[in-house]
Amino acid sequence: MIFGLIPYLYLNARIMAKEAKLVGPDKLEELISAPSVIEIVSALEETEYGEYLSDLAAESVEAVEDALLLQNAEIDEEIFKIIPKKVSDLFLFLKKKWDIHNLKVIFRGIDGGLSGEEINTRLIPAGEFDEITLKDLASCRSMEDFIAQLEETSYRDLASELAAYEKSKNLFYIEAKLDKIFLDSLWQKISNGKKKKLPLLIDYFTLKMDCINLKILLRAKRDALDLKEVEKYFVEGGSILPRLKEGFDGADLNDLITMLEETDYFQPLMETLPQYEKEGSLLPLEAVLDRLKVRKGKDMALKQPWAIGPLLGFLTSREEEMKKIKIIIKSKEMGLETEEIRNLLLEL
Amino acid sequence: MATDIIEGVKPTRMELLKLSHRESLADKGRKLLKEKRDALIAEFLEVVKDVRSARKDVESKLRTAYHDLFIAQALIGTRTVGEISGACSREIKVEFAIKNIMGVKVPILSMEKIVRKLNERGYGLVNTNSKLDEAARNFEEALELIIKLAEIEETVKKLAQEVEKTKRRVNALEYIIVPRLRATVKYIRMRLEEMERESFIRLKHIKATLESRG
Repeated sequence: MIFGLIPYLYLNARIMAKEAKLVGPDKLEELISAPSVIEIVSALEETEYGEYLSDLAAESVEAVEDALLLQNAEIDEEIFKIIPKKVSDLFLFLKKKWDIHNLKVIFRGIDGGLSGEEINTRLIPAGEFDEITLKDLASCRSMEDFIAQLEETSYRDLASELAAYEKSKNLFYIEAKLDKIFLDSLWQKISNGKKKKLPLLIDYFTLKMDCINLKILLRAKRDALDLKEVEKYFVEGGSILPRLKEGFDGADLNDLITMLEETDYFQPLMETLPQYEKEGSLLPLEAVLDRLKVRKGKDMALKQPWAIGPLLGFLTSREEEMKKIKIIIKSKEMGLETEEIRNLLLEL
Repeated sequence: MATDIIEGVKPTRMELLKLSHRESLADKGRKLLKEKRDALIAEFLEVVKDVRSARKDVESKLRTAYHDLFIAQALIGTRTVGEISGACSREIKVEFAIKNIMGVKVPILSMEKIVRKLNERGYGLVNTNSKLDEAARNFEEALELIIKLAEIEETVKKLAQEVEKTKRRVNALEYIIVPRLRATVKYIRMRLEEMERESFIRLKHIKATLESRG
């Protein structure tokens, strides 16, 4: 038993060190109280983001966001390298998510008529694709060329959506398919073979996939879409999809949430439903699901402190930190008062 | 203030008849134009009310849309939202037609459906959120309202121009043309009476001369 935990000792020591460097409540308060974006950047220079912020070309919100992404990408690469070899393939998503990010930047750029050089400046140098492949993809002048170049990769199935895109010039088909390819393969990897070894990882991703599907269902329901219009873009995995799909077409949003009875999602969503009805916005419901994810991630860090718990906890905390910093910077740029920013952080 | 008369007019019965006819025509025209002006003003005030409420709708819709956009940018990232919006752009065809309101040609703008469904906007559903949908929907609805507002504002502009034009015409008729015609008619009438009197005296004088010779 104890031998099984040895590979995680180094990983967890590094993760704990990284966790300690996350932006704490005091620093967060300093960022909230900073008078402008420039001051926020100065305050962040003392954190792990400092290295990436010190040579910003411009102190715009976009430039800061790019720096945050770069830092995140490097941390992911670093973590991936120290994950025990026997489970590292289960954490390939730490690399692949940057491929997905870059592929989206590229095809949005191609669709929006940006030049290869312009697209290149927006790419994050991380993930499984090397620099030359990314450059080649960015230099494609049509979606057909772009998808053809992905023929030899795990994204070859994007070709199935090309006809729908060409007919409608609607990137939804390509983007939704790309997300599905990534998340389905992630789920298949996690739920097969090594399942017994990492039940915690399955738990973590069950919640993640549930939240993704639930958010898609809520948004589709609010927009009065039929199930068949979004069905093929639901991601595999999770625990709630079959029961929701079954009653989707005849149900309203309230019914949809009622169908979740006996799950962890039911009570918090039901409690937030009056706020949705009052404001007409789905955001409070989405925020509830995000908070569930954060709580789950943090619980896992405590549940299995000697295995992958701390890693999952760290990934969750870092995602949360990034979200908060982005909200603060954008709010500051928009000229929101300190108190308004505090309230926004609580709401979102 | 003494009213001018039409220059170069000959004080003849023929001219008197012509001018009297013109005077009554001008007066009738003045009354008709006055009625048109009043009707245009009533229509104008009605449309102005629409402008006010349409403008208010646009402002409120845009305020909500910009707030939603801000939240979406804060959560998804300003850069990413920018990229998504670049890829979601499209051409919207607006068709023009003309409607006639009391002789005033005003535009009617019609367009294809602007508000799109969730799966028609060009972005995926995994790394985006409902605030982006709400921002997009509110901007699309705002665009519909803006096009409607453009139609109403152009109608108001055209009606205002017509009211102004009609008012100028009514004023010209009421304060210049009709009084001048009236004064000219009066002048000719007086001149004819004077000529009649002169002729009467001349005849009387001739008669007296003939009688004294006889």
